[in-house]
Amino acid sequence: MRTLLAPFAALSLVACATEPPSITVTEPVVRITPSGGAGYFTITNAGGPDRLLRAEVPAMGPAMIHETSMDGGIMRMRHVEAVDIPADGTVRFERGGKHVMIGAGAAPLKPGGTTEMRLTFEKAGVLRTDARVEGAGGDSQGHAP
Amino acid sequence: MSLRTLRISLWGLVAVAALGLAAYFFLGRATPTQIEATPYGAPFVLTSSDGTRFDSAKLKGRPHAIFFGFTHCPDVCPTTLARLAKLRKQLGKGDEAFDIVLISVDPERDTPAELSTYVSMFNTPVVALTGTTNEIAAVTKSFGIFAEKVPDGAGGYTVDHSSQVLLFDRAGNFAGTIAIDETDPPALQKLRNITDF
Repeated sequence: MRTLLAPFAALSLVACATEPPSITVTEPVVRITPSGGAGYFTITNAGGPDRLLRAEVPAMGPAMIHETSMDGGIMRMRHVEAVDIPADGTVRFERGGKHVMIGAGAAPLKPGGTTEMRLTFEKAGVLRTDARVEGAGGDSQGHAP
Repeated sequence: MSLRTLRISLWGLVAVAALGLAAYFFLGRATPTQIEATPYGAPFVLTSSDGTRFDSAKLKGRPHAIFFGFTHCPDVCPTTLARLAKLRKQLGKGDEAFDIVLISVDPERDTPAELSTYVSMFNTPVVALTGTTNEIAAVTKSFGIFAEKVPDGAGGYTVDHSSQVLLFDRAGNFAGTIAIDETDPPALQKLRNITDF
């Protein structure tokens, strides 16, 4: 088993700080509320380190990266300037954790469709993805912060 | 007995003790006999999402789950409300089993109309209440709820607040809380406890 795993262990060391990032965004979701909504997704990086600088949903209002934290049962939400995406790492934006706080747009989005989400990375540049639009009462899968 | 086996058996004991403690907390707490009938919160009159005044006496005789939140909260509040709606469905006793009560901690922005639009998104009956800043402050104080306005980093504000759901039985007695990071099975058991008679 050890000899089998050795090549994989070696592979995981391949991405170093100078290597360009190789980023994919999966499960993008925008959960809407009357005042805007929240964006969630998973960033997987198969290359060198990067940073997520901005996340926007053009069809909606101003957006910023926030992080929810729990402090003795008290929910606190804070603005985060940028999020480090480590080399060969995965960063999740999920309920009760990091999320994109999005203001309401001119016209409200309808649950069930998709909307464009733009993620701007320091090195990888702008990445566009189609996010599933979900109502506030939609998928209620809670997450332990 | 070698040191190694002694170490292993000691760790075994630690594991057994930890399991026992976990069982006590997760199972013991959920049994009806463990729930203390403590008076909690003071009677209140607030404004409902339909614009009418809502007296907490209306909750008498109805099990209810009170959650403090606000409509501009994009992450935790909708997650909690949607979860309560889901748990009420799973309970299988209909929407009358217990009332879901949302009390706004952002009375400045949460007008009755705003609340009404908000709760309509959950496709389940929710009693949504707001009031004047003073009325809300009195209610949060009496329920021991922390709520504080903080800048959101873009010229607006957000409200840090206690996130637990407060449970009350039919007699209006405080019957525990559901924490945000609690898994569904114990949460469902607690709701069963306040709705079983």
